[in-house]
Amino acid sequence: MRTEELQSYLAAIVDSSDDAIIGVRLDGIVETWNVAAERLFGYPAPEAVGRHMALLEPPELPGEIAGFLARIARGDTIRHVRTVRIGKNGGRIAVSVTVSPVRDAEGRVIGASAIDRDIGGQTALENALRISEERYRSLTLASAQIVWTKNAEGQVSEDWPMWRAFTGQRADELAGRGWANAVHPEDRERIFEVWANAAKTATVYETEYRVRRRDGEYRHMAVRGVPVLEPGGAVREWIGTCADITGRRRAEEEVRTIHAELEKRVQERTSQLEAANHELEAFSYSVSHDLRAPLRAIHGFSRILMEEYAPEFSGQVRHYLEVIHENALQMGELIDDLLIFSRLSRQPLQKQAIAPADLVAQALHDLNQETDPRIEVLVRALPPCEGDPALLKQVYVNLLSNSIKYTGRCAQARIEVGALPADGRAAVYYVRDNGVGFDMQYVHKLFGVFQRLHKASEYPGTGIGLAIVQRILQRHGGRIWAESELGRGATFYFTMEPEP
Amino acid sequence: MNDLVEILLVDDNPSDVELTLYVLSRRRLADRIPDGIKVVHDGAEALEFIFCTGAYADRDIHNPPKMLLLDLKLPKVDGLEVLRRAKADPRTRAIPIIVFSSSWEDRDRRQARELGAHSYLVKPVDFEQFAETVRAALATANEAP
Repeated sequence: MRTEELQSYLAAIVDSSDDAIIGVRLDGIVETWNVAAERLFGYPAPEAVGRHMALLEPPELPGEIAGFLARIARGDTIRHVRTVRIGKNGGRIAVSVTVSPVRDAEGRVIGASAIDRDIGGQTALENALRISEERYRSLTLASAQIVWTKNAEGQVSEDWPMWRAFTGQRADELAGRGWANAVHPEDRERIFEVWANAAKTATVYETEYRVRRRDGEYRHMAVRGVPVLEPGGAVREWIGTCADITGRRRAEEEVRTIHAELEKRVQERTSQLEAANHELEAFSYSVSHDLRAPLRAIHGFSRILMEEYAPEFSGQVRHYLEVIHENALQMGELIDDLLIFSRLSRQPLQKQAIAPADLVAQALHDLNQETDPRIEVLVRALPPCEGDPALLKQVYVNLLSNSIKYTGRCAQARIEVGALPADGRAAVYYVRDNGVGFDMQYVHKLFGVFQRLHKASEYPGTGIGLAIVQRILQRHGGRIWAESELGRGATFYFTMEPEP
Repeated sequence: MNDLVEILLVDDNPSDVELTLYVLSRRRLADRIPDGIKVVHDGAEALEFIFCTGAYADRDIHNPPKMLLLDLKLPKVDGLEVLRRAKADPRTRAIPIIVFSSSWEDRDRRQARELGAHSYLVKPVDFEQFAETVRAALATANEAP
């Protein structure tokens, strides 16, 4: 081969190289610059040739290249030095540099050939690996959980420092299945089963077992194991965590206990209440039977006396008999009303949608007041509500009969039934009359059982009507209140549903 | 032998018995009850009477009382039980029974009706209303074959 041919052959090799190959004089001036150098550093050959190699030096490494050349001048060779170069665009390029001396025919070093290999990709990979390992270690430390690894056979192949810190086991005690000696004996068999099942399918598993802490106390652990898979799908190893959930377990246990206790207490109270209700029922049953029997005799025999012997009696005797008879009747009514009242507390509500106007119409019908010319009844618009129709009708019957009674001395009685304009809250209904009214200083007595604000001789009654009304409304979640001025009528306001 | 009793009155309260007898006699019902009224004071005796057992074993079961006036709260066997047994037996089923009680509990009223009582009166009843109900029940009894 001729010298010329040989040179072009070598040039072709240099140019086809993937590594930057740069010829440089000992004073640092670039003499040759191959295609790969153009590609790696961004300078075309004409721009680079004739300039100093320091062109490629990063600011933090001044004189590095001069140092390399000094060593070359002494006949050294520089092999695979990792360093950084700056490209034309200012970017940093990680390279592995090998520099060899170029000698003349006499063997004197006259220059150097530098081969710069781009190791950017390789470094990134190494960095990623290092970062990943650091993150894994940090994560392990940051976690309050015990992190562990096992090999594909489920055996300990690496140290478990966190497990050892928790259990107090020595490193040599963990080997194989030695770690499981810290697991509660009752749980051991089961956890190996759980793991074996997960291993068959190479899937994540979760379980719980008790682990003996170094102080000897067994703690509940929530365990999760994840298989790390080979590209082919086989399990390479297992990584998992154990979290101490004893506190949570105890809290749950406590909640369960408290709940059970509450349930028990509710049941006790319910049965007490049921017993009380039962007693009350027995009591009122007995009242309705036994208390009325003597009354019947008084009532019945005083009537017989009047029927049979009236002509023989003086007016005085007849009057006394009347008094006995009337009082027996009155007592019968009192007993009846009291029973109605006590029953109201026990009877379940039969709630449904209600048009109060219908209840008012039925109440007026029951009271036979539809056609009394003395009484003018004005029924205004009444918004619908929900409740027990029979009981709420009783509310209107009692309130209207009160109004009728206490307007008895008016030449023209006016009774108004209506509702206040509702502003989004529970409707407020009212019954208003122009009767005798009452003194507001006694308003607190109005709804008490057997409380009366008027003489029985003027306005008869047992004094339980408003107590019944209040009880019915209370059972519906509603309430009642009244306003009046003596001699100028009274207004009873009430709600039939709970107010928000 | 007073075999042809028309009305059996079952009541343990002597005052109530006296009042009932007074109303029955004064409201001209006694004329229509020639064979009179038998009074018993507890449920067990009432059952013996209508089924002709015990002290009444010599009575003829085919000649039962025309009507029962039955209190509910009775010693030994209560009124609802007497009613149940009388209505369960074909020999006595047709006898009209007026339940005549001091209880106005819905429960008693409903049970009496379900068991087949002719009517349910709450004591103390109005004399006239009571007489009217007895007349109606007797009319039912007379229509029966």
